[in-house]
Amino acid sequence: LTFQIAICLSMFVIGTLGILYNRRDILIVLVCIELLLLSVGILFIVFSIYLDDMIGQLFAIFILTVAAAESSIGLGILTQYYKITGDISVIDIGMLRG
Amino acid sequence: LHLFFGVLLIVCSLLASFSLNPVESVLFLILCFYLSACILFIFNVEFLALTYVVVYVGAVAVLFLFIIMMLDIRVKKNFFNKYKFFIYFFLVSSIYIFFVFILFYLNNTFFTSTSANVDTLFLVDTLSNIEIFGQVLYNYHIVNFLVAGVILLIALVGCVCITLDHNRQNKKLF
Repeated sequence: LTFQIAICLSMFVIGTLGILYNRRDILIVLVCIELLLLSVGILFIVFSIYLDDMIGQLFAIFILTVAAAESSIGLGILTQYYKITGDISVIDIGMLRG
Repeated sequence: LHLFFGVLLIVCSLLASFSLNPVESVLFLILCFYLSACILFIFNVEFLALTYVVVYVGAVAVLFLFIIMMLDIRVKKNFFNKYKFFIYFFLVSSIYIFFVFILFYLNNTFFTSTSANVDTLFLVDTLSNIEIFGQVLYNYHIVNFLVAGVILLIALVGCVCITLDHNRQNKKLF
């Protein structure tokens, strides 16, 4: 069990660092958000198996649902952004401010 | 065996979040999803493992692949903003090191106690993972289930609203 928790914690931290590191490609930021949700879902399932309670696996399914929903909306926003600017670099996105 | 998949998961997630090419990132993400499903199979939650493959790989990763197909993604130079990144890195790593310290070095018997004796479980009437899900989800957590359905509906409507173009002339369909 200890090693499983360490694996999921590592994945969570790697996802967080990936978000902080990738300021230029927002597609990789979305990929890292999916990584975060995946690691948290596996952590919920591992704990539910250890504690012999079903609510962890149930909540992992809801996390899955929410992850799918937010990734679809995020990619929709990305599509519209690409339509407007023609590029997916978000370095100069501070210029959107009036 | 789950050590092997776990280490492979960490390596894949590292490569997914820190690679230069976004296409490579999405491919490593797909590999991460598949490896997590393998780990869940090892833990004997077969319904959740297959659900992860179907929903995560089959829907979310396919969305990512569509985006890669449609958008013109160029591989830029490695723009490495050193000092800000190291501040974040140390903040996040301090939390991580704190937890790893608690996990591995404090000699706690909370996690290393003996697991439940699984041999006697098979003498009792056993339910598979899907049946347990059916008994718990629809009897006690029906409200959560319906709320998840509403979330999916809102996501669907939101996607259509985001990508709807008002300036297009409405051609006659029939």
